[in-house]
Amino acid sequence: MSDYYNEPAGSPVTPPRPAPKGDAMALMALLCGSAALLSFMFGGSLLMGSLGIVFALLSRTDRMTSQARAGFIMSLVSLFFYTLCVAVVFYTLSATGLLDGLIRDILAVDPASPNAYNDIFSVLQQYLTQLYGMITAPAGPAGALTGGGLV
Amino acid sequence: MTSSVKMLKYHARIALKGFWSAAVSGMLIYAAAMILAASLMLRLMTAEATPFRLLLIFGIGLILKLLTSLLRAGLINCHLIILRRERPKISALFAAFRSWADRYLFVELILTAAEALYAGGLILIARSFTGVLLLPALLIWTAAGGILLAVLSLTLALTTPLFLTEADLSFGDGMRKSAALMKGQRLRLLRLIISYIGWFVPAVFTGGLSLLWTTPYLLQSTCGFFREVMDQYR
Repeated sequence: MSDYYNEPAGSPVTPPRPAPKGDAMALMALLCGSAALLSFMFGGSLLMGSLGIVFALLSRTDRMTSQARAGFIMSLVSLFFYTLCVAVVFYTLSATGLLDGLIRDILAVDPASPNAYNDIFSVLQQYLTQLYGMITAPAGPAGALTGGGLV
Repeated sequence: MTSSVKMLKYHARIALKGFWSAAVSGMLIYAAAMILAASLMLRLMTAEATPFRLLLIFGIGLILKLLTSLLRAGLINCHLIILRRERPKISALFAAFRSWADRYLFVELILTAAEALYAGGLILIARSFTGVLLLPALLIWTAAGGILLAVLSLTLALTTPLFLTEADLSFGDGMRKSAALMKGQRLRLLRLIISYIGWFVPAVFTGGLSLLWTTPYLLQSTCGFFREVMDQYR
């Protein structure tokens, strides 16, 4: 460590002692972690979870406070479950043969169109609705998985 | 005695405690200016390309790059003030505009010219070589040019803090002093910057929002490095 950081107390460049309580960054980590868990079903965990991890890591001094640690763990858990959910959805789409149709329909959306985001969202919605219908349909010839994309 | 990368980052986190709002506010203003400049350039680029318009794009792009470099110098000034445990005022962000702004602009012009040479070389190689020679030529130029560009950027890295702390330092003297001070320190600064790569991954998932906190962290530790190098010199 340099002498610059070892200057005596009271010097204008002396870093302050880390505050054990009332750390705004740790509190933000906790809030983001909680929000990540709560918004898990709405897809907010990717944004809030990432921010929660960043805040928790930035709040560290010698070690992480309990608030920051809680926020960090909640963010990690929400990100893990979010990734797991996305993986399961993609795997199911792939297994039912819907994935090819989904990719084809998304690529067919004109990126220059002002409604590009809405179009992609509605394609995703259509496929997820179809997937949900396939999963909940009774087994047998009538409920057999067909796939191949929407027509 | 020099601090390790880990210690520089630790001291940056300590220095930013209680000053996050000021650091993030400065970053917000800088980000707003960058977004404004980028949207202006995008608007110019999407229109029909004519020789006059290309010249206009080049001119406006250069002016915007120089102006944002002055704002970046102001951002470094804010972090140097935070390092002294003082709260930076909004005027600190525009410090480079007030005192001898041409010094910062000259350094930025040199770096921009080097970047343009590097990019121009890539285009020239892509047009001149064909077949099996194209890939090795591109790889060699990318590596060699990239290393030279990085060495130049790292050599001139101290010019901004030097200009900010020494008001009467001329452009040439600043560059010479920066080159002398950075001798033997370039690799350490490069290691410090590279160590932040992981910190920029969350920006992908947050639409760049996390940059409001991670960029001040990077700047603070870089300013800590600058202060350490300048203190060693003194």
